[in-house]
Amino acid sequence: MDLKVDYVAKLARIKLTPEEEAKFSEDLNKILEHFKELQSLNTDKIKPLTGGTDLKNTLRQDGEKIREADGSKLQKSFPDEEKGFLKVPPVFE
Amino acid sequence: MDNLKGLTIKKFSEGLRDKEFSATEVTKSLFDYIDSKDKEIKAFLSLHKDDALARAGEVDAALASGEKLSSLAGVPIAIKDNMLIEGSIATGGSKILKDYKSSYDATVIAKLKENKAVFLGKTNLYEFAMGSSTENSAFQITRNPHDVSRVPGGSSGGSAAAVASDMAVAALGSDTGGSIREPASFCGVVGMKPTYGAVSRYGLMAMASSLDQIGPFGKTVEDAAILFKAIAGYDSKDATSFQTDYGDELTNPSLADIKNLTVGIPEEYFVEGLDKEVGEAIDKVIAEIKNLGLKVKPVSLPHTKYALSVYYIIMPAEVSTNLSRLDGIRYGTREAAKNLTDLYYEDKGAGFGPEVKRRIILGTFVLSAGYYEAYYAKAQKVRRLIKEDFENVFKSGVDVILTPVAPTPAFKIGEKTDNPLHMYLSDIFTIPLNLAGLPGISIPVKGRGAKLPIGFQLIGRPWREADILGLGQIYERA
Repeated sequence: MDLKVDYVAKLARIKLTPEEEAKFSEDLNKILEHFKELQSLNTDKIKPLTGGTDLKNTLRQDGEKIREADGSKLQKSFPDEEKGFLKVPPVFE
Repeated sequence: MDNLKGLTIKKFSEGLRDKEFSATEVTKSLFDYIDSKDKEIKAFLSLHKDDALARAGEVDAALASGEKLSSLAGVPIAIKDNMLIEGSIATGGSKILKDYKSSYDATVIAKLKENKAVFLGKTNLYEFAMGSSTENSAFQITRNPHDVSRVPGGSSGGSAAAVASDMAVAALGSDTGGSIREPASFCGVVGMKPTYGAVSRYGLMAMASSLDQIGPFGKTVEDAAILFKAIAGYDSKDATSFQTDYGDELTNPSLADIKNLTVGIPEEYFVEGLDKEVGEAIDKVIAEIKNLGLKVKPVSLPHTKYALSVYYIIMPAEVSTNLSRLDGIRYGTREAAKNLTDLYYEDKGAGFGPEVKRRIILGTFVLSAGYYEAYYAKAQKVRRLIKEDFENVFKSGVDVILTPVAPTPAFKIGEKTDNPLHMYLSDIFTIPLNLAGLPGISIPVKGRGAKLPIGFQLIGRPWREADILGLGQIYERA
């Protein structure tokens, strides 16, 4: 079995219950088994398709652009704040 | 009002013009109807009654003052709850955003506001648009109006069910692997996924950014065309959006042009696992299209069988990246935690449902060191082969490809919840288009009577929505 669910969950910073871990381990390893069919295709000379579009460098003209920002609307969705600042738990205990 | 049944955008705007009813009257009657009908269907997560009636009132006033209005003015529309309307709750079908209020309008909403459309409310979806049934929403299970023991399809199941049950005249959905077309097929309505880049995704909760598109639901192909035309167009806020000129041919197809199209039937879509009834229904459509005078020929898309694997590598990879923003810091719910790292674990653990977690784990894995080449890079290469299959068919003189939408009609609630692989198979005919960026539409097969609806899919060349919408309109009128 390739996929160690507890290890990957740590990489994703996500808490799983023991039941979830067991169920995902079974489901996902079945799904990985299915992916093996791709290995039968020779793709040595194929360039990866990295997105949904052929557009490249869709950048606007370099120059000043002033956007009216209304911070108060964003502040309203803060889960916790103090004096208008976003508040988070301590980084270190 | 007794004329809500089968009320289309077209009929609504004619009725409004001829003063058969006012926008306010229709909106009020719809809310009365929703209040009783939605107890059974559970399509809506929230209703915007005050806002909708205020907008309808403005349309009536504008009409009284002789203002010239768009054909969408006053049209009561339902919006999938992963698109933002400023000042109102947008949950994405997830507990983690149950109280989240949007601070801006999605571009599609802004465009519909310019057209003076009326928003009835937000519709239910599979959590963060991640499944084919709308069973795994954090809030409710939406039911199929044709048989309430069955699923409406997903993930835009609420939007499809609202239109199918006449609770909304039209709706918006989003489609990453079939999330508009499969529910349209299951509910017997029209649903289209436009070409990748045709509609701005600004203000749509990102799921898998190289695949996501917003598209219309309607009761007729013509309505889907009207709604699509209103939301399409370049937007500097979405770097993948594209400047295109969609002319009148979207809504006024010429029979002569459509008759000149060649339709391809890919053998790989008529394989084991395709329900017999679906196969027979599609055969009937093919016969009817031949009768209309179009050329029909067999074609081959040889890499079709790999599409499911490619999709279930690329999509979760993008999901795991996109959803990492939901960490309890800037918005959403926040669980108690003693430090920052803990907060991430606790918030995601408590806020996400099982399918979302499963996809984040899978996506994180396929992107992780040591596995990236074998899975993600490999999938991107096969994705190109799938796209080239379509390009080769279009180069051979085929204009439109006709296929089933889903292997079966709507399945029973609970039938596929235990085995994710079974659920994933519902999307085998819709996924390849997202991988290739092509437009596709699901149109109900005519003459099903009381039987469960079945949709057929028309696939067009990039930016040729006019071909699939045009053929669809000719088919539904014939």
